[in-house]
Amino acid sequence: MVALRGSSGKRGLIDLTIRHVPVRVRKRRRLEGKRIKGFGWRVSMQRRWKKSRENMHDFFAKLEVWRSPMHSIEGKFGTGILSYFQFMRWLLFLNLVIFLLMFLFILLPAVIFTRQVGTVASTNSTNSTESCEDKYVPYNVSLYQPTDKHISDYIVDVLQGKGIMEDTHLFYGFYPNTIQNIQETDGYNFTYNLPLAYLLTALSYFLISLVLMVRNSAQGLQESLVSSEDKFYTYCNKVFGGWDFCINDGRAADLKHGQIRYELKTDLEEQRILQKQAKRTGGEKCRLYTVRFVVNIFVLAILGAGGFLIYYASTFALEWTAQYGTATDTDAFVKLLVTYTPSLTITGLNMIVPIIFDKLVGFEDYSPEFEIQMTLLRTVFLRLASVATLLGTLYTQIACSAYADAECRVCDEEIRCWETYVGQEMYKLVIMDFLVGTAVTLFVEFPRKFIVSRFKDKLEDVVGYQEFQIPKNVLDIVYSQTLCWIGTFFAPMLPAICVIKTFIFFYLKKLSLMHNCVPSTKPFRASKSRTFFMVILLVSFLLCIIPVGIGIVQIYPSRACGPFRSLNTMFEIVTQTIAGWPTVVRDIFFFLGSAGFLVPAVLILCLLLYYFRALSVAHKKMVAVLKDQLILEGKDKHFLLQRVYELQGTTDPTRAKQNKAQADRKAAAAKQAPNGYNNESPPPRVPSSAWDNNTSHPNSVDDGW
Amino acid sequence: MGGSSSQFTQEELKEYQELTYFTKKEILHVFKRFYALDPPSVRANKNARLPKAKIWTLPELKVNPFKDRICDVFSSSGDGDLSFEDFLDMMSVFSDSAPKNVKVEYAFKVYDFDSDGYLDKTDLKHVVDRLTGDQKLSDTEMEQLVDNLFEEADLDEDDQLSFAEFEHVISKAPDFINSFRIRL
Repeated sequence: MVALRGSSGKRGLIDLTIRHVPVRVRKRRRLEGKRIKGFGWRVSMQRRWKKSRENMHDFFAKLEVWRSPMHSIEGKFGTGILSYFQFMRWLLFLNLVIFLLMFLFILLPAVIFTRQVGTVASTNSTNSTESCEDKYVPYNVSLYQPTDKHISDYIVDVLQGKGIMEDTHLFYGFYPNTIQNIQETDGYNFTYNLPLAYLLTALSYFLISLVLMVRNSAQGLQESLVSSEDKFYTYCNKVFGGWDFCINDGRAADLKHGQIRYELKTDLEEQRILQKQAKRTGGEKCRLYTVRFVVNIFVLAILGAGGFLIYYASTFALEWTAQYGTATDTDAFVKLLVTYTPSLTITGLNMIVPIIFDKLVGFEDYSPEFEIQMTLLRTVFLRLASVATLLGTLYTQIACSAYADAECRVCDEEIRCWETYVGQEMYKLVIMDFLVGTAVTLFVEFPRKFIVSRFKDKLEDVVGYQEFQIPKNVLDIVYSQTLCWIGTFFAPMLPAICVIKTFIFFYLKKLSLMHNCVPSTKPFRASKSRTFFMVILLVSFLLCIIPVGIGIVQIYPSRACGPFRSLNTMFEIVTQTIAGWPTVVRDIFFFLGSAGFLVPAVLILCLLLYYFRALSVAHKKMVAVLKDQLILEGKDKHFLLQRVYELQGTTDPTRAKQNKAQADRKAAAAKQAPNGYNNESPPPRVPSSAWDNNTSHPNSVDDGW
Repeated sequence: MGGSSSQFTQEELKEYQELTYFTKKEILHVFKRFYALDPPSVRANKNARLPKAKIWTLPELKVNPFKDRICDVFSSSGDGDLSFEDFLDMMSVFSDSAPKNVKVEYAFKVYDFDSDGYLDKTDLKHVVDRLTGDQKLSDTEMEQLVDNLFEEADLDEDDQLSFAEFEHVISKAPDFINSFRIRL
């Protein structure tokens, strides 16, 4: 007992020491006589606090959306595919936040505040916008009379976001350029500057997305760093700490079995690949690098061809519409088809090219994780290239030197409200993406599984069951998110569509995964992929900022529609508002925008950056030192054991084991020497080291409390 | 179980409280769970020794791949049957408040299938096989895994893990303390 008291007495938990003795209740009862009254109340409080905290945690865990589907996915397919679904969930919430922003600050005010108390107008422009507004007739309303509209026309309208859809809250053009007040309350003097709110909301949704992304990827980075740091005892951790003894449900147990198996396999596979890589000879390396070089050239060629194809398709669509678009005898379906050509081309390319890349990367012999990252990087360029090409084409339509109607600053008679037009394009792409995604799942993946399982023996070798392709699927959602980000500015209600889309896709993908896919033969890990997904998302986010930024700062807003119709740029609303403030505030803002402030600010930021970098380098060094220390400690232990073993000097193999048990005990005892270790009581039942080591490792006491 | 509090005198409860990591209320709760395993026998004698087949009906143990080992380790009669005190003991070790060193001690016993005080290759294989469930790892994978385990933990390179080695490695394994518990 002396030993026990010595080991933890200083923490004031003496009365608990008896419980620490790993013997049975009966035995402990005998020892208990020597117990000293202690701090039971504090301990019980601590325990209660811990428990209530856990209950809270459980409660919040229950609130987690899609918890059980996530569990079953993890159990069957491992953490790699799980991370995809987590990513999807994260995007769903992001879109939900964006939607709420747009809803609260743009849609709701536009509905509630109906009394106009003023308009926003540029200070230096005297032109009235009214004549332009009159010229802008939301798409073809004059052609259709409500009576001769067929269902099919309505469907086409909905798919294109035109006709009945155009002049709604969905698109930019609908929103007025007025400062508004609530009609009913005359005495109440709260006005709402909708144009200003529109711009600020748009900026804030970009900002919030950025902050959330950075935070998430930083978290992921931390996790992946930690997981790569403790490479020391991964296998032991997984085997000895692998089973969760809390599991009390057969299904969960099955999942846990699967998960453990999957993780172990992943680790072992990774190790084998590393070993294989280490064994490569010079010739093999040479050949491999040549193959990689050729593949990369090929990839670049494909990317270039893809970009050209998109460019060609969009110019074709433009020219065709210019030529035949206005003619009344053209079939509505053909028209629809042609307007959709660029989107179709992009979607088609996005379907085919990743498959080619996926096959190509197989030749390059990377590790599974890197393979996915490589394919992702390549395809993301295609995706972004396609979006960029589309935006470029749109830009040429919107901004031109020779106006078709100079008064209204219109380049193309067809596009009188370019913001709505861009919104429609984005809307079309989102809808298209949704339809194609659903169609591929329902009419390709399910039949494929059906056919393969029907003609098992013949087809299984040729086609085989499909594996869930993470790169392709991640790109799909990153792409759809890109559309959503760009589109939201021009079509404020687009996030709602994106939320619904993501929601449906989650179940669709899960269904397809569970029914059609087999677990990948090459398992891989999730820890790094999460950060990587975020990086990809961040890249596409940067791409989104550019066109929207140009739209806000550079291009003339349409004079016929939208909240900025009478301004020279959308950003003017901000300068106007600031100009209306008291001189002091105004001066501060102008100072913040001047070089006198920005240059020092950038300098300070650079210094801070350098400081943190230096700090992180120092930490890294520290970690390396500590790691060495840890290894040394292990070696010390080893050496000590060896010494004791030598001192025993046994040659008899049957006695060797027994002696080693003693040696272990002595080694532990040596560590505990200052505690006055006392070995008088015989071990209870298990003869080896169980009794003697009850508090042997100082760390363990520390960890426990 | 209205009469559960009357099953024990205050002294008994107090004693159990001092000997385990539980409060009185929790001890009564443990008894409730024990009672639920086999009401007739426990009603007849609260110290009845329940056969392991009955113990295994406890939901957490039912699906636990190490249930037989757990019962063996905690059985004071050595045959896997548990009395209430044994059961209380088990729940106490698996409770949140039990310190790491106690848990490590029992984990070692549970994983030591042949009870020789060492985790050797066969023990480890047993452990892994039970963890992975129906679909086992292939032989080469198993060999690779066991080699890795020894490389990490077997400091004296005798192809088996002593308790000291096991404890050393567990102290570096972050998951263990969270996973080796049964919520009351």
